[in-house]
Amino acid sequence: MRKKVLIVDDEEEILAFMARFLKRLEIDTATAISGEDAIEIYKKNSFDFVLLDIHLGGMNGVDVLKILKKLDPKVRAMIITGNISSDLKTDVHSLGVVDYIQKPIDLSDFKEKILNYIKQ
Amino acid sequence: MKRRKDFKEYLSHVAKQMILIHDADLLSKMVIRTVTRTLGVKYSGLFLYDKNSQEYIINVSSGQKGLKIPVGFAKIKSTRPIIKFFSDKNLLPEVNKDFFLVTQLPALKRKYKNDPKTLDFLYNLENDISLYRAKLIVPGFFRNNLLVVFFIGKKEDSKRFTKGEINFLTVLSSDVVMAIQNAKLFEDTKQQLEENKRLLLNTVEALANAIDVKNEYTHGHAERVTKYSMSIAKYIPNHLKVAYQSFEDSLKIAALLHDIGKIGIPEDILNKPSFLTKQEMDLVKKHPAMGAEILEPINEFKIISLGVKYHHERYDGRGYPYNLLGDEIPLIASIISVADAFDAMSSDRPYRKTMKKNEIIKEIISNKNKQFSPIVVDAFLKTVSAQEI
Repeated sequence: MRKKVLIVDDEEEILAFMARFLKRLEIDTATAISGEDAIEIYKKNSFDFVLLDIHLGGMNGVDVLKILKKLDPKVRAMIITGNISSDLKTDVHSLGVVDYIQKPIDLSDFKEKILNYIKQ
Repeated sequence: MKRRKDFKEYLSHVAKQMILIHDADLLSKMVIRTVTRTLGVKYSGLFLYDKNSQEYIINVSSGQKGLKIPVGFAKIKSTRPIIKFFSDKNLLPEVNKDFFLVTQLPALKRKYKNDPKTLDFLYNLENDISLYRAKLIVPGFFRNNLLVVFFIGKKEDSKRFTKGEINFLTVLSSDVVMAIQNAKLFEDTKQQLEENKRLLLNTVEALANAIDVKNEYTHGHAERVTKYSMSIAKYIPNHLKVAYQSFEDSLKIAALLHDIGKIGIPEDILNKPSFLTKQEMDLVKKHPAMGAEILEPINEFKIISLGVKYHHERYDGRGYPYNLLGDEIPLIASIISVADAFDAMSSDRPYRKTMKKNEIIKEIISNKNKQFSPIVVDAFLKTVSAQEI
C-alpha cells in the first residue's frame, strides 16, 4: 500500500515542489498551507508521516504538533527549518518529531530520510 | 546551420549583458531562463558554489513542467557524485569532463562492471542525475575550482542534444563563470570602498573629538554642527551642490573638522570666562585659516578644506579672516556657518545665557543676507518646519 504524507508549509511554491518530489518517490501527499489547515486535514485523514515547516504564518509549528499529538498519539513528523539551533529549544521529540532537516536542504538527504522514515 | 549561427549571436549578446549584471542571483536567473528558451528544454538549473558553506546552492530551475525548486530551498553537498564527477580529477580520468550526457551511463556501467567501487559511484551518480531529472550536465570552472554546474532537462521535442548545443553550453558556462567572478570582484571592491570610507569617517570623528575635549563649553559641538549641516543640505537644491553626490560626504567631514584650527589655540583662551583681549581675539580669528592649513596636505580634501577655511565668512563681506563677499563664499562653508551659529546660540557660553529656539530662529532670519547666505537660511527654515532641527 502506498504511504501517505502530510506536508505543512506556508509557502505555496514549497508545498508544490515537495508534493511533486514525493510523488516521484511514489508517496501520496496532502498539503496544508497553515497550521489550522493541517489540523482540519489531519482530523479527516490518516497519515504515515508529517513534514512540517516550524515557521508558519499563523499558528506556530510546535502548537500544531501538540494538537496533532492529541489527535493521533502515534503521529511522527520531520521538521523543516531555517535555523535548527534557535528553533529546537522546546522538546519536540515527545511530540512525535523523529528528525529535522535544515534549509537549504540537500535533496539526496531529504529523499533518504523520507524513504527511511515512511518504511518504519 | 542556422541554429548554430543563432547561438553565436545569442552568446555574444548574453556575454555583453552578463558583464553588466553584478548580482550573481539575477545573473543565474537570466542565464537559466535563456538556456531553457534557446535550447527548447523543459527545464534547467544550476548549482552555484557558496564559499561560506562550501556547498552548492541550487540557484534557479525554471520551466513549467520541470522541478521548480523554490529559491534558497535546496542545495547540493560537495560530496555528491554529480559534483564529485567534475571536481575530482582522479575519478574516471579517461572520461571527457567538459560535459556529461545521461546517455553515457550504460556504456560506462558496462565498462566498469568488474570494478565495484567505480560501479557503485556510477549508480549513485545515476541516482543524483535522476533526482534533478537532468539529461545533460555542464560544469564551469574557475582556476580548477568547480564554481557552477548546469543541469539541463529533457528537450521539448525529446530529441538528442546536438554537438552545437553542447558546445554552446560549455562556452556559456565559462562565460557565466567569468561574469560571476566579475560580479564578485565588483562586490568586493564596493565593500572595500565602503570600509575605507567608514575608516576615514571614524578617523575624522576621532580628530573632531580631540578638538572638542579642549573646549569645555563646546562639548559635542562638532557632532551637532554636523547633524544640523546635513539636515540643512537636504533642503538645498541639488543643482547648487558641486558634484552633489559627494557633496554630502564632503560636508559631513568639513562640519566635523570645521574647528580643527583651534588645536593651535591655547586652552586658557578658548575657555576664558570673560571677554577676550584684541590680541586674543585676533588669534581666535585665525582658526579657520589654520584649520585649512592643517588639511592642506590631504589632496582629496580640497572641497572639505574650503568648508573649514571659510566657515566664519559673512554674506555681507564682514566676516573673517578673508572678508569674502556673497557668492564668493563656497556653499559648503555657508551651510556650516548657519549650523555653527545655531549651535553656538543654543549652547551655554561663558559670556551669555542660552537663547530660546524661537529667538535663535528670529536671529538667523534677521541675519539673512547679512551674516548668512539667503539660500542657506531658506533651507534652514525648511529644516525647522520639518522639525529636523
